[in-house]
Amino acid sequence: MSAPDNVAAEEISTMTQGANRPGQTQRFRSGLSRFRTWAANEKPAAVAIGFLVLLSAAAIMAPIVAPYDPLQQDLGSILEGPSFSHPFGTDELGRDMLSRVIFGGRISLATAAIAVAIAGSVGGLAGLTAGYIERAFGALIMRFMDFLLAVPGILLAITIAAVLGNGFWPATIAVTVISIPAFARLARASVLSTKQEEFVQSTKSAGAGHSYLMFRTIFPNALSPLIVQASVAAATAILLEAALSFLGLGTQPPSPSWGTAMALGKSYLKQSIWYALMPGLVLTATVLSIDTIGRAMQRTWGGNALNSAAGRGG
Amino acid sequence: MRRYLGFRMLQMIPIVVFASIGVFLMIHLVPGDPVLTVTGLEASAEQMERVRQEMGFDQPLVVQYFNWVGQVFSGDLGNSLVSQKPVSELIADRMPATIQLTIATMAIGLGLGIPFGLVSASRKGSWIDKSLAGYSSLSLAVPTFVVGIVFILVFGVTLEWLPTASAYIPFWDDPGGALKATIGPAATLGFFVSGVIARFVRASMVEVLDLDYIRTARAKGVGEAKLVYKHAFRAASLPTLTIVGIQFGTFLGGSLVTESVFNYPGIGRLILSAILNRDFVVVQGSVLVVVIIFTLVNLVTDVLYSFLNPRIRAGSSG
Repeated sequence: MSAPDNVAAEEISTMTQGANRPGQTQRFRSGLSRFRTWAANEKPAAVAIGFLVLLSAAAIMAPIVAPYDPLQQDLGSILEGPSFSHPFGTDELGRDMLSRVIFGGRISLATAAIAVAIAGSVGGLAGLTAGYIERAFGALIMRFMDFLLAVPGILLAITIAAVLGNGFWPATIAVTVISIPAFARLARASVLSTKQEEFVQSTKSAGAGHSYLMFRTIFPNALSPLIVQASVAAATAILLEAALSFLGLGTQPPSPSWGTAMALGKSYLKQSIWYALMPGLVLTATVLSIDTIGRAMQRTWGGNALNSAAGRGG
Repeated sequence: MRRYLGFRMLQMIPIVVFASIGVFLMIHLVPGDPVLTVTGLEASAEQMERVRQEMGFDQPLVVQYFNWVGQVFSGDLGNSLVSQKPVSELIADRMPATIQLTIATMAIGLGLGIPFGLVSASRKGSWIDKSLAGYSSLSLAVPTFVVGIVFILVFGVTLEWLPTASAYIPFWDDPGGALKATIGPAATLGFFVSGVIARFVRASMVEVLDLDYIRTARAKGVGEAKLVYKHAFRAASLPTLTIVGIQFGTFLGGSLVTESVFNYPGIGRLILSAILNRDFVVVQGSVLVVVIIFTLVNLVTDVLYSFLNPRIRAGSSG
């Protein structure tokens, strides 16, 4: 029986192209050196990974890294431009914008992580099941996903946030729900094509049961498009969370979310352009980094996640 | 062709039914009593009871749903809880502004996106291709509210060429004024759309330019420009049509974020202010209308696609 290895092994073996299947530690080492070669070919992606690592580290260690308390007011220095003591300037209450942006990163990154983890597993599992059981049950799941996709993303997110109320969790739930259908569709399509592969057919004729076929044979081999989709979904989640907060439907002040900061900063454009600009620049750099990594992964592993990025405008 | 059309229209029904149930339930899922929005917090119990009966909130949910659907079919989307005006009137008031913005947006998006995509595809791998790829990535990554704020900052605050808040001026009344008032939100959304379209045009052009018939035409001595702009683009424009349709439908439903950045009085602002005021009758009605518009535009796009695609056209007429 030509039982397939797990996804990681498959990726590495496609990357090493024809190399003998290495042992566990060797596999790891060859993975690392492969990554180095990959990063050398995909320089923008390597820069993007560096930026995201830095941003995540700063967000996680925010209380240590941030130069000030993000809520600490200093009415003596309001709406200042960048300076040595306040690299990102200050807001209308004299709070340090760099510290607020660092703490705001926690909100954006947490939303993205939660949305991708939950939407990826729920949507992925729904799509995998719908692809395996094609009959009524699968069709029903996909009709529901079609419905979610039939409503413009931002509108659906805002409606959900409106029903659930304002705050971090309602916004995160809204973003998660609208991320589900893309995962489901991709997973289903991937399962449908994997099912036709010879190794699946031979595993089946060797007498494998449903659960073995589903979870050991098909699923691991149908996962790689979902990894690329995860990057698109993460970037979209960050954008949507910021949009919801910008509209006043997400995390509420004084919590330093990027979207909220920009909405407040917009009223002070005449006094200080930096207030609205700095969170916007960091937000853009974050989304751009995730997209860059996603496209590099797409070039390496194939898959098409373009469509879901098209739903971002609004 | 006719059968396909019928099939696609039938497919619309479950989506609209789902959406109607969704928006109907919304008003009941919202924390807090919708009656309070009408009566205010100091209402007496009798007052609240009277309003509850007037609005039909005392009946079973299923009855309420079918009553509401019946009303919707007769064109009555209810009255705003805040201004008491009919929701259909509120939507009709805002629609022209949103339509004008959508047309301007698509004009900018297509006007930039198609040439960008064509140039990238015909110069694949060149520095032009690479910088245009960067442009697309950027347009997809920058949130519209960041673009909008930068636009206001540059043209409104610094240069003082344009107003910092836009208004709706009908194009036929005052073309110059309309242009000034719409250009901000339209450029903001158009920047995003142009990136999406450029990427799609490039992808499908690259695919088409690799096909046998293009190679044959090239071997026959057809000039490169004619090859790209006539032979290949005709085939590559079909997949692009779908994405243009989706964008068009989305923006016709109002652009919540961009409209609120520029204070542009379209459908998006209507929905947003209704949400912030907890005016759920308006939210209900306008979300339903937006979903129907979006589905209809997608339907028209699909039909147009199959009509323009010779393969499908030939297959279904036989």
